[in-house]
Amino acid sequence: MALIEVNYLSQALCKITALQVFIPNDLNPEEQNANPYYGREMRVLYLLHGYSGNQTDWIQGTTICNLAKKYNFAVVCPAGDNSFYLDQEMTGAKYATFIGEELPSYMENLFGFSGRREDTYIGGFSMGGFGSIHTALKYNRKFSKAAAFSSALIINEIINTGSKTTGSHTNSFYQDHIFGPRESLKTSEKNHEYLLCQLLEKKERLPEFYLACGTEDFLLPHNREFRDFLKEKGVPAIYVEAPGGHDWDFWNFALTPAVQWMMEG
Amino acid sequence: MALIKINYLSQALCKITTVQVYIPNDLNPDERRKNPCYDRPMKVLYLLHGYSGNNTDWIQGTLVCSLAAKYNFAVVCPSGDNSFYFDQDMTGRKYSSFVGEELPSYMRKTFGFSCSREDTWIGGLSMGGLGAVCAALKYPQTFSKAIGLSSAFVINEILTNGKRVTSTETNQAFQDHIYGSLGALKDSEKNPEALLLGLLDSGNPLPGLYLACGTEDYLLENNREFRDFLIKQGVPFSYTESPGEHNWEFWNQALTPAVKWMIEE
Repeated sequence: MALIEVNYLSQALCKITALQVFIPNDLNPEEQNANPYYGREMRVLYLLHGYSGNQTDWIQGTTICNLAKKYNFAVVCPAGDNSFYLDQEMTGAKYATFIGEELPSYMENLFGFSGRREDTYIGGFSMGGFGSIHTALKYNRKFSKAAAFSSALIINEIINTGSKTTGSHTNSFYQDHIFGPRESLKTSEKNHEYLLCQLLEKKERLPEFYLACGTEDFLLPHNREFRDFLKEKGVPAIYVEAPGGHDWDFWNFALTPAVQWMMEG
Repeated sequence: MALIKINYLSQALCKITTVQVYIPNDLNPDERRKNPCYDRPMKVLYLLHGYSGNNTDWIQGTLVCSLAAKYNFAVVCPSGDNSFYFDQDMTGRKYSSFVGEELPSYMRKTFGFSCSREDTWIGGLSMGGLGAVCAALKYPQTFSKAIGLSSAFVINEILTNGKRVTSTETNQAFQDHIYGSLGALKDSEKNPEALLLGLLDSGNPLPGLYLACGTEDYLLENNREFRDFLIKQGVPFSYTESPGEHNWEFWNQALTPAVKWMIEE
């Protein structure tokens, strides 16, 4: 597995940003020949980290490289800088545009990745779970599948109570900065439920969803709420609960079946 | 300038190796538009470090990134691990095949670099200067130009004395391991003179050669000797001496005219 660090000037973020990219293009010839997944084009999975994390999270916390090698897909881990992967008005740093548009385009240009929707997936945990759902809905023409673990689906909590009550590490200034004014949140492009409704209305292609959450996770209710929302809208999705908390033990465990679903489904 | 670090499994070296790659593919759009060097395909320069160095030497010691952004070429810096960039029998690590064959091939596969000889160059300092000249003479179908700064043209010194005399950095055991048996050295592919004679015999195109050395450098006589050899063979080349020692001040200063020669000649 080739392990690559890229630092490049992002127009969307107005700064040089660091990424980790893992590409299974250096296998021993015998190993590659024996693996049928190398009989098709390499796919790409964009993996988003959680709050306080960075582009090195996934390789530290999971054995993603083993999976990528087995199933012949590249992994791209950007840094989300606590942005919830949303476009920011105040700083001008556009994280949604970055993840959904600029980054895949730059990766395809740099590494020659397939640009096809069928080959392009996104995933994440916690803040990155929200990010992958949101990005896959906003950029539905780019991503065909999204795998979201313990997703920080806190939009409704903010709309209803005016603040995020689960998780104490962010204050109201941060929330306003990230999600914008509470009054506009219901019909904002930052709201994944709103985006989904828009796609349904326009009869656009939806990404396929794989959602997983630990039964001891403080975000369990939020994940169930989204599961119910999808059901109500008639959108098929895979939803899995298993014993586990909001931690790497769970995300590492949940990753394998999610990847299997992406590669074999 | 995109700064990339890649770790990949090298078949030639029988291990995972680290390479630094600098690619000017993230320039601000106006900057790019104003620069005529971006109206032609991007070139690639493989840069080899000296004894005790590694893949980070060139970016530390010189302003190679500025030059690369200005003249639109990518830079590839491998690690030579004190091998003098020769194939090693004892360890099985083939540094010459690595630099001359596998690395360009892998770089082209991973980054889509030009496969054309005209766009592919190699350079180095000291041990890397010898490495670059030998690689270009051994793989002239891959490299159209080579630059050697303070190159370690030490083969004749070893043939004459049985060992290095211009430097006491390495002991006899190391030298035996690197250069092999003295009897075979004269006509071996470790000897740039032998490589050049072989190339002249073959009728294949010669790489352009640019050599520079500081007048206070302990390898000055070695460089003059190789210059005289080239004159004797009637081979076109560029040779320049200027005040300087065997250090980064000289190599940083010498790099600019060397690159200009590569771009403009």
